[in-house]
Amino acid sequence: MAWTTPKTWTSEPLTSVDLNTYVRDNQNHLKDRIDSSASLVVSGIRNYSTTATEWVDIDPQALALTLQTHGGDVLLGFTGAVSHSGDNKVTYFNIAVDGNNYFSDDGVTQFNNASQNDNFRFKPLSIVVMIPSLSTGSHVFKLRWKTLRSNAAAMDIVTTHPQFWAKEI
Amino acid sequence: MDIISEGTFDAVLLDHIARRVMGRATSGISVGGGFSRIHLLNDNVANQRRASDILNHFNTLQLLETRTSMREGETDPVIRCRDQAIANDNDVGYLVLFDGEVYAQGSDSVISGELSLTLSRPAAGSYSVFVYRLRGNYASASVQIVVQEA
Repeated sequence: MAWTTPKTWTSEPLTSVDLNTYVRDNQNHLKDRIDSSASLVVSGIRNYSTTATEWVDIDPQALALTLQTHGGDVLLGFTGAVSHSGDNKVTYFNIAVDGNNYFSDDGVTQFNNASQNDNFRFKPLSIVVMIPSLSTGSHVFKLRWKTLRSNAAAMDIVTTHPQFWAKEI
Repeated sequence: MDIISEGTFDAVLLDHIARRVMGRATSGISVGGGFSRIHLLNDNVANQRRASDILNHFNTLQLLETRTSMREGETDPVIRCRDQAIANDNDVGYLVLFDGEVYAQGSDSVISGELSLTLSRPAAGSYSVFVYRLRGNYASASVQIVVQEA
């Protein structure tokens, strides 16, 4: 349901056509946007792990959201726990929108262990990203990661359960 | 391109064999969600075949029985493989992890169809020994040996 710029009435008759267009349809549009959200929680018996040095989907099936949007901004959020095997190694995170990296270079954020004592220890990671003015239609959002050579990044889905969500605002 | 197999294999071991066999043709591997994936940067047919073989034959080599638990100072454990798959191989690759860190890696000769790797004077801790073919179907196998303090 598209948004129609509201009419300014003066002294003309109030018609059902105008009411449907400027009141009903616009309310439906606003309500659809409020209701437009998608979220998931991931669980499993083995954690995710990667050694990829180029962007890869963390899980192309289980960590993917499909959202029907109406031309507004979209807010994406992720909360989970990540670790990696090598001290002073970096794991980068990115968002893929319809299969394309939303952020260039090294993504939206990074995770780094400065100390060997932190290797293999899970630490919290939260990401909130706003994607402005996404075109109307169905969109697929995925979380991606990459790391450095000689490092294995991991995400806990066994004892804690990451949440990934998207909402049009 | 990703080459995908059902099953979540050990990430460190899978990464090791993928990089050893495929070099810069792979950007690494991912496991999780019930699948293991080898990420190809160069996805020509030969590399697709190599990646498929690595996944399809992961942990399929038959190792002879090896002590998996011992105390420091006891006789060195020997990892042996006489699998028919390596009968005509000159050498196989290996990786040894000690408490999750790389302890040793390289290649060892296959003599009379048998591989014999000795873990020399192991200290207390957990060793993962991973052996794999460097040709053919790239079959692999691993064994974990836990050494307790004397």
